[in-house]
Order: sequence, then C-alpha cells, then structure tokens
Amino acid sequence: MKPRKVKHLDPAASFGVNAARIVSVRSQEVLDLAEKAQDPVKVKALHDLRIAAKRLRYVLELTGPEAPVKQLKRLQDLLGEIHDCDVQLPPLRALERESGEREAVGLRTLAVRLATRRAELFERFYQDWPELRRTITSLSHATNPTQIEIAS
Amino acid sequence: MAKARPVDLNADMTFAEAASVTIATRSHELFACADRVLDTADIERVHDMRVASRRLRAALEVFAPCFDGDEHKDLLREVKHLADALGKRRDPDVQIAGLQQLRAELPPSDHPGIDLLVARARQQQGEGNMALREALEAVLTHDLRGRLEELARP
Repeated sequence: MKPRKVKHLDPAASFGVNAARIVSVRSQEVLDLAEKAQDPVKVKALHDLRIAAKRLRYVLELTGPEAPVKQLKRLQDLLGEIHDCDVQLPPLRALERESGEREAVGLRTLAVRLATRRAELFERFYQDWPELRRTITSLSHATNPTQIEIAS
Repeated sequence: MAKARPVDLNADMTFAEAASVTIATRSHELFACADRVLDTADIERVHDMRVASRRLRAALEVFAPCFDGDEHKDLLREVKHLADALGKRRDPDVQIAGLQQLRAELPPSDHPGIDLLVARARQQQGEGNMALREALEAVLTHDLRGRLEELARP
C-alpha cells in the first residue's frame, strides 16, 4: 500500500513543523483505514491498516510521544498475527485436501486452531480499537509542532 | 525485538539536518545487526536486522524531500530488497518455532501433519537463507553502507 503524500514538506523549515504535518497525515491515514477494517472478512483492509500503523509508529519513534508508540506496536502485533492466519489458512486447507489421512489429521487440527485464533484476535482488535482511536484522533490534529513531543 | 536507538533530534533543527542525523543513526543500527545473520541457530539476529531495515526504510521515506531524487530512490529500492530478503528468511524461522511448540502440545496422531509442515518450512528457510546471502553480497558489492553514509553527510 502506497503511503499518502504529505504536502508542503520543506527541507529548510524546522523539523518540528514538518514532523507535525507528517504525523497528522499518517494518523488520519490510520483512522480512515481502521474504519474499513472493522469487518473481520476485510482481509486487505486489515493488512493495509497494519502497514499504515507501522508507518505512523516509525515516525512517532522519532518525534514522540512514547505512549502511542507502544499502543501502535500492540496493534501492529495483533494485526500481524491476523495477517499470518489469513496467509497460512488457504494453503493449509489445500494441503489438507491433497494429503493422505495420516497427515490430514494434524493439518485439520492446525487449520481449526488458526481459524479460532484468528477470530479471537479480531475480537481483541475490535474491542481495543476505540481507545486507540481517541489517541490517534488527537495526533491527527497535530498541525503544529507543540502537539508532538520533540525536544526543543 | 531491538528497541530503536534514540536519534538526537530537536524541533528547531531543520528538516534536512534531522534527515542527516536520522539516516546516519538508522543506517548504523542496520549494519550493527549484520553479524552472523545467516546463522539459522540464532533466529533473533535476522529479526533484529529486519526491524532495523524497516526503520531505515521508513526514515528514507519520511525524509525523501531532503535528498537527491535518483540516488535516494536507488538506496530506498536496495534497502527494500534487503528487507524483503530478511523477511524470506524470517517467516519460515517463525513458522518452524511455532510448529515445534504446537507439536509438543498435540497428540501423536497429529504429528505427521505437523512434521510435513515443518519439513516444508525448513526447505523455505534454506531458500530464504540463500536469498539473504545474495542480498548481503549485493549490499557489499554496491557499497550500500558507504552510500548511505554519503547521503547522510550534511
């Protein structure tokens, strides 16, 4: 997923002013993608949200504040595990159909475990999102450098 | 996971100055993780280098307006290629560790299926290691480190 372009970045202007613009755009990107990702079958939306969260986290590692960095890391881990389930399940089910019964037993067990785990992870994301949304919404309003925490 | 090294930034420095300091730090962080990364007995090394490559890539993207277009684009592409190669090794590493842990929890009747997946993941791990070896050789051949240092020079 290509990142949204951040307009009016100026190498000669202060880091604070530029960073505020970047944080604002990356935060809005996460908020918009998260709206689409509230449905467990929206596999691509969940994947795109993970990428956007990663981009925002890496910017916030430079600018602060630290608390959302940790929250975003948790979100990223959660979405990463959901993505792993989404990637692994289709080939696993295909392999189960192709295999003899001796191997198919364990493959079936694993497929059931992955599907169950995926459902649990999505539920956790769904429950946790409103709190993180509040944090990211305030970051999305960071149109001036005083709203982020770079030392000066 | 390796924590990001703090970068010595302040709000009043220019965006271009912040770019130099950040790329220098993130680049140093990447190459500090390169030692024994092909060792499949210690899978955390690949993980740390992969994370460092992602942070460097993110920094190159964030500070893109501060750099010359062509060289910056080439460096970004090369860092992405390295990150992809690290991912090709890391993904089967994680899969093997997870499957081995799961196998220990499951009854013997489930083991043949799990063993089949472990064998496949081991093959992918070998292929991933070869791809990573090639990517690391390309890093040396194209002097990625030197060029990143040059890019970061104020």
